[in-house]
Amino acid sequence: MLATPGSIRQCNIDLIREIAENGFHTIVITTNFPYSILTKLYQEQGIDPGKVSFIDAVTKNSVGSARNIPGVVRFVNHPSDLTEMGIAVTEVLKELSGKKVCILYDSISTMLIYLSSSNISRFIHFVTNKLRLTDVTGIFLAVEKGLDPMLMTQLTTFVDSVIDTG
Amino acid sequence: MDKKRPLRHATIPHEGKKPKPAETFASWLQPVVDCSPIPQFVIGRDHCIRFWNKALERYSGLSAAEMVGTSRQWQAFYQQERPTLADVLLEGKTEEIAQLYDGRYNRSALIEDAWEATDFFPQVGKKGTWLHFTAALIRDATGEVLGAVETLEDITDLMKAEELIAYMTEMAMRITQPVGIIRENLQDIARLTRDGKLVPEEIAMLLDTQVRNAAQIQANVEEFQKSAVEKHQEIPEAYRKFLSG
Repeated sequence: MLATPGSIRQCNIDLIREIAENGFHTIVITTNFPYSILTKLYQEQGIDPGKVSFIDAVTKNSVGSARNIPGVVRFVNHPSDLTEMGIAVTEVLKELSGKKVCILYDSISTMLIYLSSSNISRFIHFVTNKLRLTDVTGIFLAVEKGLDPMLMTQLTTFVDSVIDTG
Repeated sequence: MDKKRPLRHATIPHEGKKPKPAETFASWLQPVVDCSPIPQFVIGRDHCIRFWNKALERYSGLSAAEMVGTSRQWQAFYQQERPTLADVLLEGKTEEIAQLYDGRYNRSALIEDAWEATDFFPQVGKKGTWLHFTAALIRDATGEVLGAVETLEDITDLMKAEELIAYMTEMAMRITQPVGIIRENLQDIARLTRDGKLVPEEIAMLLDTQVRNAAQIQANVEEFQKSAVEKHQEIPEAYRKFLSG
């Protein structure tokens, strides 16, 4: 899903609200804002925090250490640590197996600060394959016009559709 | 001369003068190959060089006199003996093309039995050269293979332009866009702070994250600059030092 830089945060919130209203639990992979602040923002917008859990790649990078809270948040050392992130996705999906789950990845554009487009493409390919195998829905947020044509083409082949909110 | 295959007679107008009767197709062949500005060579079924044109002489530094009659066509491109595209076609081993040219090849859209490939040749030129080459089988009127012709085109400048586009695109994605993200994040942090929605520890964590993002962007720029400096030896020393930090 493509959004303007100014609306991507609200896009995140609106999506989670809609996903929760449809009875799904959302796993937010956040590379931008720590889970604690996102939780606060979601609560203010009337989203039940019990309907959201996190893979947080921000907090540990900032404060140095953070302990996982089962069912709430799993921390990843660094946004560029794709191995750890991949393991976290696998394990969280295992924990929530049997539930209706949706993964929200916020955002590909932030990942480009830390990773090359080729590494990101490979990781998204891995995640989308995993989601298909486990029959889980996934949404990847990106800043519109923020992905070069080649990366956009590659990512388009991995997903079922591209939604431009701009 | 093969009596079964008579030579074709070509008539060449010379500014209103009568055509020279003795000119034949065969007598045209050497000049046509030699005068072509495109480097090319022709090998027979025995893989020996029949023609090695002037453009290829100048390009490779290897004269026709030393090359014609030999099967050392590989010497213009490689340090060790290996088949050229023309050699592969003559052997009918087109399945080897994929191994030799690693995805950068395709069948010609224009000519049957012709293939094209692109490769980088580190030992050609001062810093290596990108060449796009085509090879085709030469057949007589009955379809019998007589040999193969291979032509070359130096596409180093084109590849450099493509590299430059890839480089600038990556710069745009990894620097311009991320700076925009930091700007938006800081605006959000300012708004949330003004609205009293953040405690000091949270403000510090958010700002710290943006500082780390900025540091990473700076590291990205330095990495790009260093890589560009290493690749382009022609950059003057004073600028090399500045760009390398």
